[in-house]
Amino acid sequence: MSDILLMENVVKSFGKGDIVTRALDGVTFTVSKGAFVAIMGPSGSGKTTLLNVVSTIEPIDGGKIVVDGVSISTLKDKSLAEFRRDKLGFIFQEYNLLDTLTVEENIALPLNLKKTGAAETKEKVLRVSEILGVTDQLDKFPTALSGGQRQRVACARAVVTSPALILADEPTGALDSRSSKALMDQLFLMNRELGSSILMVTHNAAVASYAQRVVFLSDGKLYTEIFRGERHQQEFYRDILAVMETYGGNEDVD
Amino acid sequence: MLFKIAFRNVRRQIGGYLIYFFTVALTVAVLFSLSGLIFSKTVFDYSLGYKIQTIAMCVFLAIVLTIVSAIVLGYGCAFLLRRRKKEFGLYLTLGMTRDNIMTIFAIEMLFTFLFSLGVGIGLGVLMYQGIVAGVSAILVVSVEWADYSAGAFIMTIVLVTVIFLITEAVASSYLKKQKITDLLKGEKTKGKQTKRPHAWLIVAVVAFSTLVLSVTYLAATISRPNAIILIVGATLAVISVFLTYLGALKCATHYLLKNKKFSGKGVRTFTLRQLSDRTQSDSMFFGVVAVLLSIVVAGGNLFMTTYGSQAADCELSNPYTVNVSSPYVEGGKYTEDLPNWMQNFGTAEKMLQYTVFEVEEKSLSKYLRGDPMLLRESDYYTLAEMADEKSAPVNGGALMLCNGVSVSELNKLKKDAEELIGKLKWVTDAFSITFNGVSPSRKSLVVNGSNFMLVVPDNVVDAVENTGIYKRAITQVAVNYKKGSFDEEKMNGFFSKENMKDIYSQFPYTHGINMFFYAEMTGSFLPELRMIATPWLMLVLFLTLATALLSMAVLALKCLAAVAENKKRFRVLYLVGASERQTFFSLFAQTALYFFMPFAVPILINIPMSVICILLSELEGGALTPLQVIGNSALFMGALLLAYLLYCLVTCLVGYTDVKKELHASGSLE
Repeated sequence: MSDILLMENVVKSFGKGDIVTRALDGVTFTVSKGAFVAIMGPSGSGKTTLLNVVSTIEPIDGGKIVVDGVSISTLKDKSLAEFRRDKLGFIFQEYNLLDTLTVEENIALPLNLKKTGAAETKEKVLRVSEILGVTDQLDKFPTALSGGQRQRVACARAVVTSPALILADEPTGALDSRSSKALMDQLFLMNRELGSSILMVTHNAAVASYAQRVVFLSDGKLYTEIFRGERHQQEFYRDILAVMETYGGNEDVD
Repeated sequence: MLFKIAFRNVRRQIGGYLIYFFTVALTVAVLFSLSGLIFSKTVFDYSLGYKIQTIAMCVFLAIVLTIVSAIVLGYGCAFLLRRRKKEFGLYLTLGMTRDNIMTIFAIEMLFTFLFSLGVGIGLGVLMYQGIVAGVSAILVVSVEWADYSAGAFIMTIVLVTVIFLITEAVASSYLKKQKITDLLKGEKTKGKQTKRPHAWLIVAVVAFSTLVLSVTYLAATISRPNAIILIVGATLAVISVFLTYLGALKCATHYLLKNKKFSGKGVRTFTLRQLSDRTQSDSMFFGVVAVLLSIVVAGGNLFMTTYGSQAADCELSNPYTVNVSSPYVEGGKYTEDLPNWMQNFGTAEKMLQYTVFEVEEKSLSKYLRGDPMLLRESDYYTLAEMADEKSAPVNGGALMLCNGVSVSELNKLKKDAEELIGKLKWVTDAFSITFNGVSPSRKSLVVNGSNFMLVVPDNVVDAVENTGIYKRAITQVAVNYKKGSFDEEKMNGFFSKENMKDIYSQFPYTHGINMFFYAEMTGSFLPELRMIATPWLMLVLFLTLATALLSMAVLALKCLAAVAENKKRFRVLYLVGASERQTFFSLFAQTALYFFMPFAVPILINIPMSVICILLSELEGGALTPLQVIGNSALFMGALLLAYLLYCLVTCLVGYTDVKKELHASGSLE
């Protein structure tokens, strides 16, 4: 299986002069096409920075990042925007739906940015809305939806352009346990049925157990990684907890 | 401690305060200019008897502007506060009291006002000279240097202090009303569908049609002005402007968003939705600003046209370099020496001594100012040539000469000519002459004459003179001097009481002008017109300045408050895949559309206003050509648009800096 994401010796620092913090310190790993990978680690381990550099929001100081064959460190503003629009889908903890737009307009936004025709946009929006179960909500504004519904809309927006990689930043962070489970089932479905590659940052071992692989970061470095393989989800969950114990991350276990 | 926080806040948030500071400084400059005019010893000297009225108008304007500016700047303060909701929310959660926050904000505002006062007075020093130069240019008077006085400085400081105190009171009441949760949340805008868009569309269409109809009706009835028609028409127009905005803004974005082919491209849906929320909630505000701007635009145009026409009309009242009349004196005409004397005051290119005979006809008194007058046919031809006017053929008959009348009077005279000439039948009967119609010339060919002049063959006037059947005769000399050769001072000295003691002692009455010989020069009536026009010019000028300045300031502050609330939305748009260019395009489009929306009808209203002004100018005598009227109007709008562009640009730049910072902020993707 070909790689959808390649990170090679990626370095990212913050601060100036004597007060420099290395948020990413030579991180190297790959994500295969169609994979569902979770990133875990304690606070300050570099999880969010990793997501930011992959999403091109933060430039890197060293190393190389290649997404779907495109080396993003060489791209300029316009190409970066096109890259984000065409290759990436985003799911945020706070949903980040635009509350001034209807659900339909929110989902259609990435297609509008791509200047997709009105008929094609309509068809694609309806298709993903059906898969994610938000067809009845299309004319509503996000403020009229529950947290779970909002996050499903955010998922629909993330997959509507069939991106190469979906980046999810604590997608269940603002949801209750029932909604969290429902959302993770949806993400699992998106990965299985739509073949979406997912890179998800989370603190939650139960959420991470939906992934096929969990990468652990610590102090900006790759600490370890574990694969689910053929194991049952519960078994994988226990393994994740065990790794978390080794770096003292069990305070985050829900 | 609070002082330190406030000082740091001003330094740190200099960008956010820029528009507010800019507006306060300009308000100070306007108030300083007004105060300068009020306390000046020299500026309105040309106003003579009207100086008191002019200064009273300036005092009235200063009071009105202070109150309006205070309320508007206080209202604007609320937008400054909205930009910083989260920060104030944080202060509250950290344990500060509302009084602490109000004190911090009051100190910040004090810094801003003090700095603005300094800069504003500096600007005002220049603006004052600029306004005096502009007014002098419009009224064609020479004021070389406008004097400054301590009174102007003190008055400006007092007025600005009043504004500061009212502004503070408004800001404090806003802060008192806000809940901590609202402050911390920081956002206000939320999407909502337009309610009853079709009904609002009907309101907009009906209101706009009423506006077009009322303005058309006003234009159509301008030749027969009627107070009731004017009041009803103008009121309807004002209400229509307001309702057009209300209706259009409530439904426009709904229909644009419905059209997916249009809205479903790039960032259009986002931009329209953002605008939709703001325009719907601000439609009343837009309506009020549009009405105010429309009134200012209409008032400015009307003033420029009326003044320009009347000033040009003054030129029509004496078409010669100078015309000197010696009134009828019992026992004969005074004096045969006039033509010789006139040779001494310049190089005469053409000169004519002529006499008009006033004949009594009581039946015409209700139609005319003064009795009818007779003029020799030969004199008429010469005078017309000197006035550079085409003469109409007399052909041995009688020609009615419309002497310096307005177009409406001319039309009335043409209409009534047959009836009038019928009343004067004794002239035509006595001398067997026929009436040949009305001369189209509107210039005062006979400077001191009735507006009912009858040009008749020379032999008829000779017979009237010889038989003595006239009431009085006025002998005059019209002279066209070679350009630049006329010495007015010398002429005035020659005809002065001191120089003509003999004549003045013989005929002590002075016709109220302290001169026995009455000289009128080109533009003789201009000084009086200027005196009357000055207070009105002040009113138009300062109301325009204040309306434009304050509406722009509120628009700019509202825009910046909205940008601060929408920063997160711009970031999401950027993350979803919009380029920086698309994101900023949306920001600029929102700002520019929001900014210029209340300007749309005032710009449109300029078209019918120009037509009305052209009609008015024609009625006033056609002294201003349509091109000049349109030019005046374009100049006025151009100046207003330029000021708008400047404010819009500054707003866009401050907004751009805010959003750019947000797009590239470190931290989580949120």
